[in-house]
Amino acid sequence: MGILGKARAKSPWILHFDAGACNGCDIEVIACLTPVYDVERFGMMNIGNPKHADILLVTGTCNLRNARVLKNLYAQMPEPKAVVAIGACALSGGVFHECYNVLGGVEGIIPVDVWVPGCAPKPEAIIEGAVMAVQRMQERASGKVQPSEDESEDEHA
Amino acid sequence: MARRTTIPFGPQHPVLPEPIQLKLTLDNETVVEAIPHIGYVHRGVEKAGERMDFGQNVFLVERICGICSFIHALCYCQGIEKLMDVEVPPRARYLRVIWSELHRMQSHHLWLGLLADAFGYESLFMQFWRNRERLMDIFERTAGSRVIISTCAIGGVRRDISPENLQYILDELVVIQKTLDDAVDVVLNDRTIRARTVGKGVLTAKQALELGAVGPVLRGSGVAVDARTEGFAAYGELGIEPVTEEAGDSYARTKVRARECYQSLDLVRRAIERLPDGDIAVRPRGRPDGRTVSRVEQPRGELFYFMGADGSARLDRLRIRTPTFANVPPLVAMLPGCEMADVPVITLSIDPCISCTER
Amino acid sequence: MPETPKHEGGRPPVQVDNVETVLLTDLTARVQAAHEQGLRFVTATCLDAGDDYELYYHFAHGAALSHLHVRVKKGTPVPSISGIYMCAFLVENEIKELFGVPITDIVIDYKGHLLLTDGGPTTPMLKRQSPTSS
Repeated sequence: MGILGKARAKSPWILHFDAGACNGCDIEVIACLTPVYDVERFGMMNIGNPKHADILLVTGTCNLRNARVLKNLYAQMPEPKAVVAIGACALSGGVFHECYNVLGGVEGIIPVDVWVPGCAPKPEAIIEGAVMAVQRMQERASGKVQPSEDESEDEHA
Repeated sequence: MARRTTIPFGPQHPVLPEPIQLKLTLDNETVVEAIPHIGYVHRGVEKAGERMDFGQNVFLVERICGICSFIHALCYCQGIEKLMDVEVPPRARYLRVIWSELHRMQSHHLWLGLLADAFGYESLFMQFWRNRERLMDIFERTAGSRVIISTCAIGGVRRDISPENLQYILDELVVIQKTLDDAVDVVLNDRTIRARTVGKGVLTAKQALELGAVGPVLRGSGVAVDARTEGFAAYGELGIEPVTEEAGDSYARTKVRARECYQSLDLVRRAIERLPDGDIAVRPRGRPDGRTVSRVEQPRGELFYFMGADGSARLDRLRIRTPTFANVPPLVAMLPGCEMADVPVITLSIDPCISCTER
Repeated sequence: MPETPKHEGGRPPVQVDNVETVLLTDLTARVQAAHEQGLRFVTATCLDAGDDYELYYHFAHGAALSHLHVRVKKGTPVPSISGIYMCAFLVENEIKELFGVPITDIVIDYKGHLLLTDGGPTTPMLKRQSPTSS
């Protein structure tokens, strides 16, 4: 792994996108940044710009309109990158799975590396998910895993 | 020569935790027109409310908004109780007030923190959110969950709060109030914050009423409307005076929310003091039949439900009008004339909750 | 699931208080009158009642609520009240989109793209879905 890869793993920057969540998961993501949970001890920082981000945290069920935005954001992030799907909605649609304007989870839209279940998941769980995503990114940077284009299932098992 | 430019603000923007797009037409740096584009988080909850049975709907409506989930459930349950003619025991009504007010407090803490963050006041943001964590601990201790606490049920509440936990809440409130004093002092008196909020995004009382504003947006313009004065749950016995400010600008709206934190502290204390003994729920019998409306006050304003039932297990219609849905037209009226740089703060000043708005 | 008989225990169905049913032709004049009285527009509700639509317009005066109720045949154009209460534009767009009520002359007309997207469902709130819509 080059020096760039190492630096990235020590300080992965996070981009958060709400794809139709109820806000519960979103505020828990923000709660991770606050003094009680403090993800900055892992070098993680929330950033608004996808071009600076390494890890994409997605909450929510996804619909046709925000799926386009989500794909754009993902495409703008530089490799190696990782995606964490947070909450029951992002996994399967959750309580909204029968609603008419719901695609039912993030997985069909962009490849997901880590799934964090819960409604809403606790900040501890979200942090663990983000840390797992960092490991994934490191593996990817060292060439152990192929870049994230065509894989979405291997680590799932 | 002035040139008109159109700038999309959002849907993904650092100041907004949720996606909404404002198409801003600018004349140099001044906003001429703002058109909101929503639909990024529309799910179709109203339809799902007709598919699930009326008992399951409690869990559905709680998940319309993760910030004020308890109050959504409260509004729904009160409507169903009206349709089924259920009398809620007094202890349950007081417990509902306690959880509602704790929710209002955490929501205002969250918002005050986001506002501080929008100015770049990161440590102030952290202070509000650290204080908010104490409220989240109270939820976890009393309800078992941090965000969606699921304690409201048709006919009462699902959990009781033990005397030890009531004492714990009172002890925590002392610490919360102390930290709040310091943080609110900065928000209301800091020179930079005042410069960026006083006189920005002004909404007169007449405009606010005409545009259908609700909650702190309406009260910040000097109109004393608060659904809690209707006296649902135990608000009637506890008594409540709406918090109002006259100026109608971003600063006034901030001040209303800051003062409402203290109002909630006071309400929780009084509700605990006067908490009656007895059952916490009655078993509802039969099925809802007829049509009714239900109104409660959320942290963001008045929440309005229309329910239609035909005596079957499922509702015929569940209409949900959330406070931010009503506060979007006032926002559209506030923005023209302001500077581009003030758009994020003015947008934030209505406390937008997009997941509520689009359902 | 077998349907239970209606009005269990002989209790009549609950009704909304303060509702006044008006004719579609009087609607605009009545809303104008409400506006002149200084009522705050709360929202509108649409119900799918088989061959008809039922529309409620909710108003608030201080703490009190009052409602106007209109029943129209499906397909009948409904005049927009957003010329009187500008804030009604969002809810009217929503009703137009989700129920297919032909509301005319909305001040900001999103033309079916407020909440829904091309390729998604159309008029999803109707009770009976046409086979083409998903």
